[in-house]
This record gives sequence, C-alpha cells and structure tokens, in this order.
Amino acid sequence: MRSVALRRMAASLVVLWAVATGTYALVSLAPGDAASRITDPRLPAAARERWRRDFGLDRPLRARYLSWLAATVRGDMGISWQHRRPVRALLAEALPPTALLTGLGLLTETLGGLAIATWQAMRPRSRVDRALTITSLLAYAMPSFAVGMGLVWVFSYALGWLPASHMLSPTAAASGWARLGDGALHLVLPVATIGLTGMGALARYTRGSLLEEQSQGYVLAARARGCSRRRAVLTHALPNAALPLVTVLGLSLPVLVSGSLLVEVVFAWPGMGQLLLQAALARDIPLLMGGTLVGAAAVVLGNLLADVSVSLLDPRVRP
Amino acid sequence: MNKTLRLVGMAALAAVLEGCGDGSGPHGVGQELIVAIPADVETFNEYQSAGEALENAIIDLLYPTLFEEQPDFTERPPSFAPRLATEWQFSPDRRTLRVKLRQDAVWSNGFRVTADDVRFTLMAQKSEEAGSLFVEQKAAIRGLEVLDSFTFLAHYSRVYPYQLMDLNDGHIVPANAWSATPFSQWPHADFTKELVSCGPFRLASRIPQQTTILERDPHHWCPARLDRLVLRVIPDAAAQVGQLLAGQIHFIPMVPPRDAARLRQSDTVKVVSYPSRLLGFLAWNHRHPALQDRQVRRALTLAINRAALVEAVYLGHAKVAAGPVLSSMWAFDRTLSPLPFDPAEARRLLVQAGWRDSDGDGILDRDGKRFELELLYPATNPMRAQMAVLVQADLARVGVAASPRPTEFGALMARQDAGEFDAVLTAWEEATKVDLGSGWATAAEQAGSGNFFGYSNPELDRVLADVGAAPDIERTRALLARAQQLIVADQPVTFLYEAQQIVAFSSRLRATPNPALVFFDIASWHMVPP
Repeated sequence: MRSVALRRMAASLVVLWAVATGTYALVSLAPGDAASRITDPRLPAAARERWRRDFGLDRPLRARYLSWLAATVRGDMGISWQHRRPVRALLAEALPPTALLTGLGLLTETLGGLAIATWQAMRPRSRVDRALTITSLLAYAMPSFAVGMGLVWVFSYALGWLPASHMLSPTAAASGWARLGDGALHLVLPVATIGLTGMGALARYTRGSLLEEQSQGYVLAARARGCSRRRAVLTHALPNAALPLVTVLGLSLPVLVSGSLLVEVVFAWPGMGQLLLQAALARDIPLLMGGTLVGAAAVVLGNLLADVSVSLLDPRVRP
Repeated sequence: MNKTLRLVGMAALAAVLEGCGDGSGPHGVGQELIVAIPADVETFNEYQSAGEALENAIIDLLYPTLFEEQPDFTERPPSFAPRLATEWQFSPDRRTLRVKLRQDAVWSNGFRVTADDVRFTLMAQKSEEAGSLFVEQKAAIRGLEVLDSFTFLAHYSRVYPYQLMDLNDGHIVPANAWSATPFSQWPHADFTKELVSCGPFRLASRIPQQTTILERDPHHWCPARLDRLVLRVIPDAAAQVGQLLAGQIHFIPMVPPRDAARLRQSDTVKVVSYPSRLLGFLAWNHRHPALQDRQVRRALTLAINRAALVEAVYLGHAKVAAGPVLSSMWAFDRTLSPLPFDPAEARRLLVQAGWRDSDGDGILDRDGKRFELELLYPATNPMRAQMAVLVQADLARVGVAASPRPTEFGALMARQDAGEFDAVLTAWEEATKVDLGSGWATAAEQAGSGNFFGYSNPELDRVLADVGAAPDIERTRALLARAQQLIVADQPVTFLYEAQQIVAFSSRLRATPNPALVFFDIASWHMVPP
C-alpha cells in the first residue's frame, strides 16, 4: 500500500511538471506578448521593446523557462506582470472567494440533485417524475450565465431582494455579524446559479442509477422481506447508486480552485476564474503559470481523493 | 518682450476656479458616487501603466498635472489652465519655460508638493530603466532647473508648437515617497501599498478585483463635493446597465451603443453622448501585391457602404470618417468629405487595374490569381465582428472575396507587427496633439509602429517633416491640411468611423463628463436628493 502511494505521488509530480512545462511553452510560443497591450500608435517600437526587456522577454525561451522552474521549485512564483504583486499573494486572495462560491455551489448541487433523484426514484413514471425530468433537462441545458442573469433580473432588479454582484456592499461594515450577513446575501444568487445548473445533470444521472439499483436482487430481496420502497431506496439502493458520484465529485474538485468563469463574470466575483482570464489576456506568464500549477495540483489531488474514497467505500475495487 | 511669447495663466485660473468645488457644496453629508469599471485598476503609478484610458482617468483623480488641458481642441490646439502650476512664461527664444507652482499643494503624507517632485517626475519619465512610455515624448526637454521650492525652469533643446503639452503629459509623483524605489525596480514594484497622492481624492480602501474606494481629500486646493467615489469592478456590460437601472450604481463611463436606447427610456438615468477620439479604419497591407495599387485601395473604399455599416453597428452613435484627423479636431481639413459609396465606380477601377472575373465564378482574378483577402479583427470585439461581416458582403458584390477571421488580441498584434495580414479592422484613440507622423509617415521599422500597414509616400514624409519644424499654428494647420489631402488621395486605409462615447448616469448626479476626460471637473460633481 505504501509503495502504491509513493508511486502515485511520483506520478503526480511528473504530471505537474509536464502540465507546467507544456503550458509555459504554449503561452510563450503563442504569438503576442505582454507588450501587445500597448496599443497607442504614437509610441515608437523602442517603448514596447523596453517593456519586453523589463519582463525578461528579450532572453531566450530556454533561459526564461529554467529561471522560472528554479524559482518555482524554491517556492517563489514570481511577481505578476499585470498587478506588480507576488503571484502567491494574488492566488491567496482569489482562492478563498472561489472555494467558498464553488464549494457552496457544489454542495447545493449535490444535495439538491440527490434529493430530486431520490424523490423521482420513489415515484418512477409519475407526473411529478416526468415534470422533474423535464425541469432537470432544462436546467442542465441552460448555460450558467443565462441562469445567473435571469436570477439577477428577478431577485435583484425587479424585486430588489438580493444584491446583483460582488462579495460585499461598498458600505459593508468592517467586521462582525453585519458584515457576515452582507456576505451571505451576496452569496445567494451565484451559489443558486451554480447549484441549479449542476443539479439537473446530477439528478438525471443519479435517478438512472437508482432505478437500475432498484431492479437488483438485493433491493428486491429487501422489498420481499417487507421493507418499504422509501426505506429500500434510501438505505439500500442510494449508497450503491451514489458510488459513481464520488468519482464525479472528485473530478469537480478542480473547479473549487480554478473557479467558474462565467458565474464569476456575471456576478463580478473576485475569484480565480476572473484573475486567470485577465492574466491570459494580458499574457501575464508568472500569474498564468501560478494558476496553472494550482489548478493542475487540484486535478491530481481530486483524482487521488476520488480513487481513495471509492476504494474505501467499495471493497471490490481495493488493490 | 514679445507678447505672443508670454503665456501667463492668470486669466485661465479664474475660469478654473469658477468650476472648482469651492467649498459651497454639501460635502460631508454622505455624498457617494458608485462608478462601474469593466476591469480593476492595475496600477496607480502612471509610469507602470500600459496607457488604458479609463485607468489614466482614475490616476488623474489622485495625482496632479502641471496644467489642466482644456477641452477646446475642436477650435485650436488645446489651451491650458492652471493646476499645480499657477504661472508660466516662455523665454524670448522659447527654449526655456519658467514655471511657478502653487504653494498650498500637499501630498497625502503631509509633505508639500515642490519643484523637486516635478524634477523627480521628469527623471522617471525619461528613465529607460523605469520602463517609461514617455521617454521619446520628453526627449526635447533637456532638463529641469529648480530655482526654489516652488519655481523651476524647463530647458528645451528645440522650439516646436507642443512644448507646453509635452511638458504637461504625465502626472507629478511624490519624490519623498517613491524615490526610495530605484527606477530599475519600478516595472515590478507595488506602489499601491501606502499610496501617497495629491488629488481631489485619495485612496481609502481597496479589495482587489472588486472595489476601490476613493475618499475626498480635504487638503486639496480644489476640494471635491463628493465624499466618496466607489469604483466597482463589473466586467459584464449587461450587468452594469442592469445595476444602473436598479439604482445600485450611479455612473457607467462607457455604454455599448445597443444599450443606450434602453437606458434613455428610463426616468432615473441620463445618457450623454459626445464625440470620442476613437478613429476606426480598415488597414490594408501595402506589402500585398494587389493592395499596393492606390486605385485598388480606392476601389475597395468605394465598394464599402460605410454609412450603412456605421448605422448598423453604432446605431447612430458614430459618423463616417473622412480622413486621418477626426472631424472634431481643430486641425481637420474641412474641405475633405468621406468618399462616396459607389460600387459601380469601384468595379470600374478594379477592371482598370486588371482585375476581371475571367472564369465567371463571381470572384475577380488577375494573372490566374483570385482577389482573396483575409480580414482580421480582435476576437473579443463583437462590434468589429459585425463590421467584418458587413465589409465581407459589400466586397463580395464587387467580386472581392474577404474572409473574416477573429483573432486573439495578442496574436493579432503579433501578426500586425510581422506584416502577416491582408487587412485588419482596427481603431486607435487620437491624441489631442495632432501627430500624423507616428501613424502615416514612412516607418523606419514597421514592428511596433502606428504605420504597421507599410504605407509610404515621400511627398507626405516631406510635408510631415515640415510640420515638425513649423514655427506657428497657422503654418502647422496648412501643412496638416496638405498631409490629410495626400493621405486621403492614397487611401492607405479605408477610413470607417469616428465613434461617440456614451456615458450614462443617475439623474441624481449633477456632472459634466466631456470628451477631454471622463471625470473632467469632477470637483463640481455632486448628487441631489431623489
């Protein structure tokens, strides 16, 4: 077991290095660079060249890459070219809002999806089941920005109940319950957007698994022993049907750190998605690479956690 | 002393003081203006900035310039009113400018603003190490001689019409706070920590990527009537409009034309549009064999229905451009008008240039080569995407096959610099300093130049060289008119549009945004009760 764990860790490091190297090469070799942002036609070519030199872009690619790699290994992610601040500080600022938003979104999505699927599985082919199936499909098919904008129009602009964007009001208190309450109100609409759009897919997926499990011998045997349908679904079928969901949720972990870009844009949420989009547009290589490394680490960790969880829950897949 | 050489700003001072928040307004009673900005401010140090217009407008709220450029560029080269400088006077040979600074200007850390700050700023502007974008612009200013704390002499190496403007460009920064950071570290230094400023506002708090709050600086010589200016980052234009209508924000500096009509229907919102300095054009690559012929370029311009394009894309918030100088500028040659939309004449000119549809496929050809063009535009710009389709349709009617190609901005700039394109839909912000040399003179090196399309006309180069040496404004105006005529005759690009800037704000706000600067005269802005 220990050697398996060591092998997985070594493989993870190789994956991280490969992702980082590939991304560095792609971003550096793509046409354009940080100086492309200077568009004033009055400025001579020399001005842009000075920018390139200041960011080290006049050095050969291999030298730049090796410097970056050596610094990264030492834990120094460099200074963002766009924000003139340490990349580590920028990521540390953007990660908590993203984790909070997507974490609550995933929780809403999971709990909501499971509840709907269970409800449907206990009343298959009923009117409610059909109605929920259509609703789930609609939610699944709707792009998240459209759902977000719809919610904003209704609950913020028309009814005025909830704030339309940001994490806090400009007049929010500096600390205490008032600030917490203000933050909670700002979370409602973006969390609902992520939850509603993800809930549909999860409900569709789990409903199918639950119906399949209900036709299995162990569920039929439980029913034959006089177990109610509700109890058979909740205590027998659901734990087995939920197993594949662990893998799905494990794979969702990267979203916790890389963010949900469209939702962040619609709600002006100061998270990782927006930060990395701006970095990509500005060709801010240090920031882009920092974000890539964190995202890749989350993918590796998510996979690892999913594998471990499944093997703990299902003895059949243990090594 | 020759009176025309004396530029004393006392009269203009009176004009500015009239518009200055003179303390009579209701400040101190919670006057707050919430402004939507599409992206966060990256730096408050102008000498680190890539020159984005809105960022510069925000920096202008925190740092002073020597003079206040007036929005009178429609009639003459911009005049200047006092700001940090109260008086200025040229020497008889115009090679030295004596400037007197106001004595009541104070940095937010309590230090006085002195001539040493101005000298330090010029050093930063001329520093290649600092990565300054002002190096070339300040080249004619040899140096600054400090006479006393509030008086200095600026020495010029030559005489030219824009001496005052070149000295004024760029904000004065605090030597007492920023000189501790060597210029070599400026490109990567964070100046936001403990920001020292001297403007009508100062930094109160900041949550990156979300909100920056500026508060009124009570020590400023022209105190603002607003207590707080809240800059909210709202990347989505539709969300900005929705929040303005819902009363959650008060000011949008740039409204897309498609939203202007909807906003105008609201009783709680005012929409103001005015000529911006954005000139849009379709640049033809002069290295392309077909596009080297000016008759062909003229034909392509005649083939494009620019009035219809402007109406369809800008919905009445732009006009067709006639040439390289905006029609709202003092230097515009009023004898020029846009070339007409004339597909028949376009076809005739193309046939004259040897382009015929010899195989009957609807596409012109010459020497076995079809007239095909790739039309690049920035992928993130939906208005240019719309224009590209309209241009494609118009050119197809005269037998030219144009393929619109959305291109990532960095990649687009790289292809422009490398000359690897046929045509690019682009635009640039014209400066109030009319300088045709940077965009239209033969470029020694095309990479990074305004003239990335490779246009060259020796006669124009001679005229533009004369403009640089012109002693007075009337001679400059005549030379610029000649230059415009030569450029329009050559049609190195197809001039498409002069856009308007649309600003929307709460009807509670009393404000006067104008084409010079979106926050111009902000000291007098204030909110009235609903």
